[in-house]
Amino acid sequence: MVKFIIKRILISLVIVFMVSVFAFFLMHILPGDPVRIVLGDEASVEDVNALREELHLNDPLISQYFKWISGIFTGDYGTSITYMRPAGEIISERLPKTVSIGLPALIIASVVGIVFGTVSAVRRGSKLDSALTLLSTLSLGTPTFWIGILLIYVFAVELRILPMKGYMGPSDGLLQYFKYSILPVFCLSLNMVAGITRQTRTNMLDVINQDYIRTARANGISEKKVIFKHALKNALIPVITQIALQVRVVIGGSVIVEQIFNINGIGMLLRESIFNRDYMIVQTSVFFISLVTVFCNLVVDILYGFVNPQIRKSGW
Amino acid sequence: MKKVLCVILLCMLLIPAFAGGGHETKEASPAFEPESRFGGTLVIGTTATVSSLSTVDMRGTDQFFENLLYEPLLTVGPNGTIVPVLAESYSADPESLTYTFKLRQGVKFHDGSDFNAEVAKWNLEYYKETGVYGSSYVGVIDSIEIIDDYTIVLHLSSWDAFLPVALARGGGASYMMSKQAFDTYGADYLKRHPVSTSPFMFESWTDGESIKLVKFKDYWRGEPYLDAVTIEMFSEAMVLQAAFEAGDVHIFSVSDGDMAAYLENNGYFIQKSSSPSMAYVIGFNCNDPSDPFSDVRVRQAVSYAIDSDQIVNTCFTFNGTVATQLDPVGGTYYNENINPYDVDIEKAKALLAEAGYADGFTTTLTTMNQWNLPLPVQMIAEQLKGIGINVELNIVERAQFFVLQDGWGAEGGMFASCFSLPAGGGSQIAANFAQNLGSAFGRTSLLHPDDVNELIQKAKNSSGDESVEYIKSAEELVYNKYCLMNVFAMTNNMTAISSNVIDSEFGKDTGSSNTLWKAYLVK
Repeated sequence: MVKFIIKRILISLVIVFMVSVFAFFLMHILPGDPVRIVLGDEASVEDVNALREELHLNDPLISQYFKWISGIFTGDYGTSITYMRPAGEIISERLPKTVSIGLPALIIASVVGIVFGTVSAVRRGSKLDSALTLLSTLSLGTPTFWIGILLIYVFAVELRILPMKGYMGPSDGLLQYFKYSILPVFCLSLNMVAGITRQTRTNMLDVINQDYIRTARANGISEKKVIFKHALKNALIPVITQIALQVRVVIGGSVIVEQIFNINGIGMLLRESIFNRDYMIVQTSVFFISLVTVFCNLVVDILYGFVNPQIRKSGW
Repeated sequence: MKKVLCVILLCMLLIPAFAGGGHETKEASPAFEPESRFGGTLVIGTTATVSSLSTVDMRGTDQFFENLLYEPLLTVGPNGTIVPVLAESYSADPESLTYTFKLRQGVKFHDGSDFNAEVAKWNLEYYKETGVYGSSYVGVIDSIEIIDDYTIVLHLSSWDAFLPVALARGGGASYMMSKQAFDTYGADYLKRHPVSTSPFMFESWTDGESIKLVKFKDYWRGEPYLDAVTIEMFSEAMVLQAAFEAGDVHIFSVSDGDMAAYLENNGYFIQKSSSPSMAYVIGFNCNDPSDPFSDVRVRQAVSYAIDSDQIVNTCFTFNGTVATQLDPVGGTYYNENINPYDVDIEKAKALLAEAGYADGFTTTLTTMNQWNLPLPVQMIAEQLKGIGINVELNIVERAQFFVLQDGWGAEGGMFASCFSLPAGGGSQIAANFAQNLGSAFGRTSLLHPDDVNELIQKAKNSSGDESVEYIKSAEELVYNKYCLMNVFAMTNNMTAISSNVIDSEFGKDTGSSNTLWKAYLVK
């Protein structure tokens, strides 16, 4: 088991290293000069060069990479070209906003998705199953921006019961937080609910048709026990993987939802920074998003190893 | 099941339909008695964002915030004229290379300190030293001399007739901050807590969400009526529009002509700026002998084939006008001798044949995927097919465009861009067609002929009408003789103003020019 865990950790470290290399070099390969974007096309060459020097953009790329990656370990994430402030400071300001929207969305989506998926599978072919399948297909197929704007129109413009935009954190009062976050959380969780519902339904249907479930039923075990103790437990393994993958949304934010509801989170920051070629912000954000995603997957992988010895023995 | 589906879909269709009506159809006008005025909070919406509130960090695109947070020495007034604000007047003396500014007396900053010559001198010097456009806009200022408490003289290293434009335009050069606040709290503090002379004092800034300002009772023009001004930032234009229609936002800059037309049709007042703010231009790769555009006849043929009327009527219906040069009719630098290049396909074909391209050729048209550029560019490509020129479009994002614009020669073909017109087109002619430019539109590809350069240098070295005449002569060469650029349209800024906002004059001269010190809300 220890060998398995060490192997997984090493693989994760390689992935994180590769992500850092890709994030850095892809940003620098993209055509566009961040200084020219920041200063505009009317700035003089002197002004452009002065800012390039100040930000070390004239240094060789390799040296810029090592400067950045070594800074990651010392807490110096470089300076944002757009904001002319430390990148780490800006990211840490934005992160709580993204997490306070993303985390409830993920929790709600996980609970609702698993319940819907289970009900749908157990009541396969019923009207309820059809309705839930239709809803999840609609949720997956409907663009989030359209749903967001429609919700704003109905609840903020017409009914005037919810704010149109902005953000209030839990520290501003739970009621305020609830009022400001209900629409973005709903929007963000919609796609996740649909995905988890479908995944749970498919897995449950697979499991329910297995021999051991039939045997359990034949042995007179109650239907409730068969579903929740025997079927769902096994059906949830791939679902948990899917949920773990969604953690990147909790950290990285949803660009569309943050854009529509004007939530100044990581998603908005990343979008704006990619357009502005704000290297430090993009590199550092991508690095940390990948770090968290890889960590979550590592935990899931290790848990799989505990739950299923076959996975451990296969080495992957 | 079908019934349920129908009801859901019907509801989705009906909600927007019901939501459209019910608004007043009154244009903003000052026809209300003083007693009906009340304070309240004016909410201005924007899709713009800002990363620092200090004048030295502000860029041209931040002018929206600058005009609400600060006051400048000079600003752009009606029809692109330069008008004094914190300066009472200014005079130019090209022979002694000096500009003399008489400053307004009795002006106080929000922290109670006085605005005077020392503060103005410090601001200009500080900007030159640390401002993002320090060398671009005010690099020509050699030293600043204080004559008395309210008079300063700018000594220049070489004469620059366009310095007042550089001081009046967005980008912070002549917007005044409190020196006392700087000395007390330092530069970093002012990035997030501006202290100025404007009618509304800074109260708070929630990054990317809102900036709150409150009335400054000691404002030099008198105490404002409004209690407060809030700048609400929206990242989505459609949500901003919805907020305006719901009455949550009183004023917002409309970037889309269709949105402006929709609002006007629904009874809202749309303020168009008194002079155009943007010019849409096509530049040609003239310096590469292998490029067909190195031949002036090909450039002229393209100009005769572009149907500006059609473009404006399709793409800029609400706020656009057909243009032939960088100034509108009646503008300071407008030259009536400029060839309008009226559509003449036969003439265009003849010019192409004369240049050896009777069968046409294939070329590239590069532009940026913003500022309403892609649609007109597609139309131009279609129009040029009519004279046998096959245009391959190269629509790139902003970041790439700026790089291409600097070193455009390698791309070849044509380049479509937008020119901002801070105070008419004179400064753009000088900034793009003089020789030895550090950066400019088509720096490596446009011709910079000696005769054009000579006229631009003469314009820079003179002042007033004389300078204007030199620019007009340079324009004749740029458009008529060399056909270096085709200006096909101009657009004005548009601002949607709620009917209960009076006397704001928001967006009347430039995108964010205003008279908020005398504005008020009516119930």
